[in-house]
Amino acid sequence: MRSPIVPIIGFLTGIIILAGYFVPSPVLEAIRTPMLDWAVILSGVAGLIAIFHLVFGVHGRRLRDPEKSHVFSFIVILVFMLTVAAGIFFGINHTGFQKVVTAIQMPMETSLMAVLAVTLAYSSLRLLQRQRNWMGFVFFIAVVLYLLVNSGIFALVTDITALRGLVAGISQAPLAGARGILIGVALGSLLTGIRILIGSDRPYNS
Amino acid sequence: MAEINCPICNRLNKDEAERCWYCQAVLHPEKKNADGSSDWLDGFRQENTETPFEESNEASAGSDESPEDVPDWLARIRQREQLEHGGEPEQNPDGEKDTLDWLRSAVGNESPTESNTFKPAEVNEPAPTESDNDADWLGKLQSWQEESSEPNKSPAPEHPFEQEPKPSFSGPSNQEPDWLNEFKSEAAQSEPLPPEKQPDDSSTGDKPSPENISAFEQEPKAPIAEEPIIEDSIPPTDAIGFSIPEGNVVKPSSPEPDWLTDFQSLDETKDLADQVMPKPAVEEPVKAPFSGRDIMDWIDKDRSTPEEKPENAVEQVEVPQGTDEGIEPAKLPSWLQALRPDKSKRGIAGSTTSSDLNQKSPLAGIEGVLQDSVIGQFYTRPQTYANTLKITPEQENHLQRLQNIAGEARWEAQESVESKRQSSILLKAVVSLLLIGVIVFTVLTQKNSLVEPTMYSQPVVETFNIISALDPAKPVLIAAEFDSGLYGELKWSSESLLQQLMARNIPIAYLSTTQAGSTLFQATITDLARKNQDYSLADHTLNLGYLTGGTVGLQALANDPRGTLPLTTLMKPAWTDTPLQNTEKISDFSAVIVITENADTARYWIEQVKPSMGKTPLLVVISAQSAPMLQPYYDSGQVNGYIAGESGGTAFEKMAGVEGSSTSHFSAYQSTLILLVVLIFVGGMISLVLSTPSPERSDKNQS
Repeated sequence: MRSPIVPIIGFLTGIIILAGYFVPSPVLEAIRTPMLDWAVILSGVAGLIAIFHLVFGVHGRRLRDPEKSHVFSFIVILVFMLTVAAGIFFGINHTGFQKVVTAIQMPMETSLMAVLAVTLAYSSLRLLQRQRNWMGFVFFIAVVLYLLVNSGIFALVTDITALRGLVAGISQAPLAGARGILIGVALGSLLTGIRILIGSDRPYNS
Repeated sequence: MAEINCPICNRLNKDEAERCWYCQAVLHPEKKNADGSSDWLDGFRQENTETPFEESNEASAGSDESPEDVPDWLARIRQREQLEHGGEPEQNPDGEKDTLDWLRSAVGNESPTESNTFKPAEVNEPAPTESDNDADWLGKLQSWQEESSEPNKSPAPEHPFEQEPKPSFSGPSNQEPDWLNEFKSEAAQSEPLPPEKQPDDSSTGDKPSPENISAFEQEPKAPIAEEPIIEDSIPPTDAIGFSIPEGNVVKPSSPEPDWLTDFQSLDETKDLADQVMPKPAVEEPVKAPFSGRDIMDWIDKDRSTPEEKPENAVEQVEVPQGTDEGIEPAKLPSWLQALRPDKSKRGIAGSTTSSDLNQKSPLAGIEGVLQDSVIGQFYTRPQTYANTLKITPEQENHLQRLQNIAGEARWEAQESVESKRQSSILLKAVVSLLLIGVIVFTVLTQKNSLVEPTMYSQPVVETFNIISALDPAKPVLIAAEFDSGLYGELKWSSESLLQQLMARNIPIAYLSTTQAGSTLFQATITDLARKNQDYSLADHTLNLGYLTGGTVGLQALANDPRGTLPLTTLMKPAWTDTPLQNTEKISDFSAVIVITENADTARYWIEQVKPSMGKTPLLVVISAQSAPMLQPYYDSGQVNGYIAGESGGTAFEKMAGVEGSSTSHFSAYQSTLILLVVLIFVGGMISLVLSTPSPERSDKNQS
């Protein structure tokens, strides 16, 4: 049986933070601010623990396992150690250390995004081949239309009042869908918060 | 006082007693023989004439018939007996008739409803005196039977045959009637007359039944088995089943009655039944001891074919083991044959019934009994198959052809898959080359965009107005919430905005909730500072580093910026001797600008920080893919303005009057988008016209 102390602490903390959000009380502010600072510190410590677990826990165990490949784990651990050493030695504001991010990490991730763009373009060619239904046609038309809108090519027809209004309306059309998504997200967040407050969900106690 | 043992029960009795005090047997049979042999039958004869059974049953009315009415078979017996005994005249012609009479009356007095009601004799009954006639016990027997039958004068059951108890054939010998003992003594020839004793309920009053017969047959040592004539000589209504152990038989010493001696003259080689009881001229079934309404239906069915049953029944009569094998099996009475199950029916139910099962098995006579041989007809052994497959040469040829066809089909399928894969790779390469070619061409040729953006969106205009109106004394907080993958788009989109801030010497403090965000932004702002020499990074910028905790960190930042981020990335105090020294709260910033590609990150800032900002504007530079999600917050006033993607950056540059990266790359961006639209449209039309979707996929899509 789980201890009831943890849910009680979670409930009281949530209530205090929530009350301080709506009630501008100095007392609540005095209680709420240290709690949030503790949470930030604990989050940073949790990040460090996760990093060390990934490097020395997962990949270190793979290095000790004779049945698994050691190459990639060795590279991960080696690069991690070099980066940490460079950051400690040069500092994170050093230009040379920033090259680790700007010359290595950013091109790699950007290249992946470029491959994704080409793949999406190729998939769009075969859109109607695989999704030959009314939803497929709607999606096909929407893709074509909004690519044209974002390209700015409709600036050619700005002199035509009717078309200007039509283009403006098309540009605002995604707003309806976005609002629906955001309302759903808000309701889900509210329900999740209530469940945590009343102790129905205990993510802190799992 | 002298005592003698009872010859029957071997118990001690007084010497002067005529009969055994326990079993009422005659203790001095020699005295009785001296008095005359057949007087005792007279009394019994008189009693029998008064039985109601004789009045109602014509078949058993032998006592009333005259000597002229003697049946032929009996006459033949008498004749043969006379011949064998040297033509001695019958000493007591009436004796035979009377003997049969009492036998009939002994059974005939029992109505079907009173058959099994004999009670044991009273043990405290006074012993008869010596002066009493020997036949008085028979009279007592008859009177006792009448008395004992009174309590059972209940209404006759519908099927009395079923309710009658099975007789016991294992009773002591002193419970048997005298006439039977006399009959047994015939073989001994030198034994005295049987003692008088009262019949026991276990040996009298039983109706004939198959159980009786079978029990009778299963008594191998019974003396009666040596004389199967007795079984047939007894009328059907007198079929009383009992046996007499040999040790307890009291053999009479007086000469037997004439009617019994007649049986000795029977020819054993002939059918005893025919000799003793010849068939009547008219073959009408002998009346069963039960009324017609009392017989069960299955008996009626069997009686419907009387001509078949006697032969079948004779075959099923079992000769007792250990008896004289030369004696032929007796013929069962017709009424008993009628009780036996039909052989033909048994053949239908059980196919074949072995003789052992019929005669020895406890299930003898039961219909529908399955036997091993019958079971074998319904169940066969499982068929076994060989492990090897035997095929003919023709089948082998067909198999070879089938393998060739399958091989060709598989080769065609592999070729088709390979062809599709190659065409797919080719198409991807073509698309990639087209996109890259268009981008490179537009960049290298420095061509302007095909269509200049003339329609500036309202958020971009609001953003430009807010940036233009910022107080240069107050710092601007910039949140670099982006990853490396989309850094290129956001860099170009935000570059003109940053240039605008630098142009106005507005201090900039920046942080990030992602690990690489602050570093990338520092690199960006360092590049822009080179273009604007008047803007000193050391004096006007402050790197607050990485903010952990996600939404919690943002909430803490909104409540207490100084406590949440007290140090810079250089490990110096962030809030003293810096552009932030006059900043206590988040609302003290001139503006908060969030640069992100993720709509959720923008939402976190809107939800957690915006309420603490007061009148401080919140501006967002966001990727084009997330712009629609930000539009509702702009409409609600939670976001004061935003720049969405390459188009927004270009529009901002146009409004600011600068030529930035966004404008220079907008032509490539626009050309690529138009190319994509063309490719997608053409490809969609080709797919729509040429390709045919598979039925499975189409059904799956419809569902």
